[in-house]
Amino acid sequence: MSDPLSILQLRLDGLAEGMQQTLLRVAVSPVVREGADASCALFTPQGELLALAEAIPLLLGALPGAVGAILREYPADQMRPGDVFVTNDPFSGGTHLPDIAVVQPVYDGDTLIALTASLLHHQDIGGTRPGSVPPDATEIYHEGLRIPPMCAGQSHGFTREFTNLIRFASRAPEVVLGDLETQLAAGRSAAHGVCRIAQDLGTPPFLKALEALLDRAEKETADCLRALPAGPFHGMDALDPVAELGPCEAHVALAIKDGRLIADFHGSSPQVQAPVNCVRSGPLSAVFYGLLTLVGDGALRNGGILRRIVLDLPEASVVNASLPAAVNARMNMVRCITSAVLQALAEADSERMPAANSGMSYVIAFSGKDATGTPFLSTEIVAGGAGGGPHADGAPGISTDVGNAMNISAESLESMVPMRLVLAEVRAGSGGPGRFRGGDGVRRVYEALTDGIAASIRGERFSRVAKGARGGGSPNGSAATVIRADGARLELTARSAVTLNKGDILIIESSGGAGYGTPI
Amino acid sequence: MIRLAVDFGAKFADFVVWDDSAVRILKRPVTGDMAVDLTAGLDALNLDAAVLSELRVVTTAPINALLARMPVPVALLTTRGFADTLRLGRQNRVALYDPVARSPAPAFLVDPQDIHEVGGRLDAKGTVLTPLERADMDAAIAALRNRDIRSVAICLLFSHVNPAQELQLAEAIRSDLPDISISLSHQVDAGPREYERTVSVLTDAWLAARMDAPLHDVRAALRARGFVGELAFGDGRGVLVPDQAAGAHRAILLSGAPAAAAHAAADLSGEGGVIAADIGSLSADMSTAHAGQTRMADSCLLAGVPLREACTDIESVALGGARRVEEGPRGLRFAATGPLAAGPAEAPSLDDALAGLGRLPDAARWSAPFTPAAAVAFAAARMAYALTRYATRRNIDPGRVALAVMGGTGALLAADIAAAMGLDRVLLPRAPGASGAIGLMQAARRSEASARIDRPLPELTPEILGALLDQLEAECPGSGALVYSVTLAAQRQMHPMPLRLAARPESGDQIAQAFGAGFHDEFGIVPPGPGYLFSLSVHRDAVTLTPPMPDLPGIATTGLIATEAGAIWCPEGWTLRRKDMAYLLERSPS
Repeated sequence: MSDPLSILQLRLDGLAEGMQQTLLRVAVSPVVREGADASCALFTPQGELLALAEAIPLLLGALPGAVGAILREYPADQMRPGDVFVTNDPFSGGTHLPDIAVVQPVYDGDTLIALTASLLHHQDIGGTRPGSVPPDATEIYHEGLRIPPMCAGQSHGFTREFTNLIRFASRAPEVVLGDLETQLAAGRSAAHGVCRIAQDLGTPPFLKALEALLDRAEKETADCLRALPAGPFHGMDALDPVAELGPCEAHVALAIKDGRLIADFHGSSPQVQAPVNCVRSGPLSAVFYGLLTLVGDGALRNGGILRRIVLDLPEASVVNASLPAAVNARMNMVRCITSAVLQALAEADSERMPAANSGMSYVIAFSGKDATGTPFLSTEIVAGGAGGGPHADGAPGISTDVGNAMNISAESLESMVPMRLVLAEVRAGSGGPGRFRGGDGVRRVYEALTDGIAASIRGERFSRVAKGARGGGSPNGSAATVIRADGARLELTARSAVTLNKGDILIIESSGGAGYGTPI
Repeated sequence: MIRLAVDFGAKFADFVVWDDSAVRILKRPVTGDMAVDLTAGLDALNLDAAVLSELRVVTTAPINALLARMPVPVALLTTRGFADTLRLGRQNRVALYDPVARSPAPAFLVDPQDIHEVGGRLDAKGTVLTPLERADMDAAIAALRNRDIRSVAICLLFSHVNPAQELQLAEAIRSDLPDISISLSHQVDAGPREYERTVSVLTDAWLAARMDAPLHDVRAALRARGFVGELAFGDGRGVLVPDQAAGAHRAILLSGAPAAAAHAAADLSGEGGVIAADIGSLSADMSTAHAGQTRMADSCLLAGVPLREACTDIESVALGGARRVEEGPRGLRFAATGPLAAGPAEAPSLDDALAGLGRLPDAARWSAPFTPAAAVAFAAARMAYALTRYATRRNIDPGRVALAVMGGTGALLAADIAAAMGLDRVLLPRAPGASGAIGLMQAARRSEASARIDRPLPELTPEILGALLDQLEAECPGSGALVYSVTLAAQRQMHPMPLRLAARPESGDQIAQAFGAGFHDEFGIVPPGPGYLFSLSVHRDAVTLTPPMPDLPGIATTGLIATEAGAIWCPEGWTLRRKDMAYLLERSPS
């Protein structure tokens, strides 16, 4: 436990965690500051994951893809000290356009010894709606500025050309540029730490130790997998059906062969003309997360684990979309994929797995201009309930599996936007019945304080809810309702954009988790 | 002048009595009744309370009660629509890769049926939108009476901006239920975000219900014995606060005991840095210091309760002499425990293993399928791992700072821990078996005052600032240099950052410059905003002289070496010598 490799992993983890804390403490983007929507990591010069901050698991698969894309465009031997690389392109390893990855090489003398990488959900990167998550997008070109893997800076700073690009594309350029500077600073600080460790050990032994770290994690993962039955184990989940879209189903077959986890997603639905598709980073996050739940607490968490994952993804599908698919609301598809993966893992390791969680979270954005003409924008994430079991009821209103976003307090929300949160409560009875009940969802009720507030709502589980496990029941589904000031009632769909005027009430209800075991 | 410092632990109380020339230390088992234990300690020391000029106290009783999740008759009054604020927490979970999602919210602090909503609403600027209604207040008061509530927490939305409704509600309760303890969120934790403020104020109310009576008994026992000196408590920052100040802000006392030990470790840092572990019966508390100053944090997690408190940056692990060791599928491990349980009786404890190796008396028959040496090596490796993790999470390289180990169990494991970390030296404070009480002896007495500002820095004129500082300075009598601190953020909505100023600020611009430099030091960038000042504080610390430490008879080699309190184990190949006001355990040159 305290062998030199474990200690080295701790030191690298500490540096990645330091980056993460900097982003969370300093970022202006509310969804980062309040919702922790950011991720930081260190990579080897070859692009293998070295250390990962404790961030939202939804982003587990995001940085390896982005770093890989940058290295393909700018091979390590062409990088120079002080270079800054960026991308937000989902089709080059990213997630969705607001998530900009910043990658910086770390040198000890002339030797490239590591890469720092961070990914942060920026406030606005253009597109058809403020916040850059338009629920009505049908292709990526509606969603904002698409930044290819590119060298965006030298001497540890961004070029004028890149900053101008942001200035011209974003509705909130100063906020975006400020948060990009924070990403740079976080990377610089971690780079100092990496250099210090390399100098302590000597550069060649340091690089050798990194390889040993990866090898050890790979071996531990392989050993863990070999202890499981071979499978295949199947899982399937789907988004709420929308007539004009066709099905959005994620199918997975997990098989274990030669200490590898092979995740075959064939059978998943073709991509759709809505922003619910996800790219490769989605299933990678889901499978990486599933594997991390298996390997346990003491395991080294690095790219050695990734070496034991094989993804078999159908092209142009909802789980692996191709251009020009819209992807901004991909989170619920990733949740679906994760649900399918966890179902399959429950077959392999049934004692540890609870019933399915809500499988959803809302992303809600309010934007507009206040009485003085000043623009405002807030984005928040509202969770559903956890699955019941295997030994207790599920928790209410809690981020589950690949999510870990925090909610926004009434006092923060009302300081930012002319909305009042009049109620935030556990939605009693919405969890599935069972020997161990599913956790309840959440009800949040908002009142608009001015006219013309654009509300963007991306939810899920309005009609198709999680199934109970071992005789447990399903939870109540999600719902979103507007009650106009004149009393008119408007039931919203899972992905809605609506304008709220003064006195209008918006009621958001998230789904509960599924029950576990036959109710006694 | 004779002073007494007492550290009430879970199993023992450590008494340190001193004047300018000498120290006496006593360690006694505790009964759990502080007043009884205190008077018994005075008797054992043959000490007349009437001659004491000062009594300094820390106790682990409240944090142990929190750990045990003891039910306490506490109620929460909150804004209508927000009764579930505590239960929902911030929606995040602990242990990201555990398939079972668990919330970190300390919902155990109050029974759900003792949470009551009241009408009345403020907006974000503190403007009253809806007044409090008498019927709501009467209903809440009736519920408090019916449930025999002893302590009530009040947390209303935006009360940190305008406390009028919280004060109005408190007044109504006080007039009907004069004996109930009332904690107000704007007084306990005047920061934004209702969940965090709810936790702070509920913790205060919980502690009031749990601790006010025992502390009342202590005061009564002291009075009965003619004590006329000053009673002070060690707080989570490692300083002493007077009795009346401690009563107004109870949560800060929760980590007083580990903070006092951290203070003792900070004295070992010299001009450099130190990471320290204080290992007792049930837990080990880690801290770090640089140039004599303990590292502080603006929030902490104590017994699973997240608190927004300026406090010593302490992290605890379940590792101690009473913890039992067993074999697991991946090697030795500490037995799974309840919050305060030490593990199944059939497994040997770490103390048993230390006794088996001759480091403690009274070795029991050893029947485990592993050796005592293996159990001790396991514990040392576990501590080494925890210390490395603690350090690296704070961007401290454990190889570049000194290591200090203390506590009764720690002094017997110090060399093993150093070796497990690849180090050849480890420091131990004087009387390592009573490090909390020693830290308390060395702690400074603090007088302080603070004011809520809540305005952008550019709006703070030199005239307003000057008047505020004059008033705060007048509230900090005594000796010692005045220290000026602010809590601010780049923008109002951002997370606040505490900042100590080099001197009395003359203008908002000066504060902004200091903030810019401090922010850059911490995060490597300029602040993304002009600065928003939440609060301004002034304090001064007064330190009393401590008597000299007795010398060792010489360089000690191998075996148990007694100190003023607790013995240090010096293994083969190591030597122990005195270094300044501490002990240095060092691997001998081969």
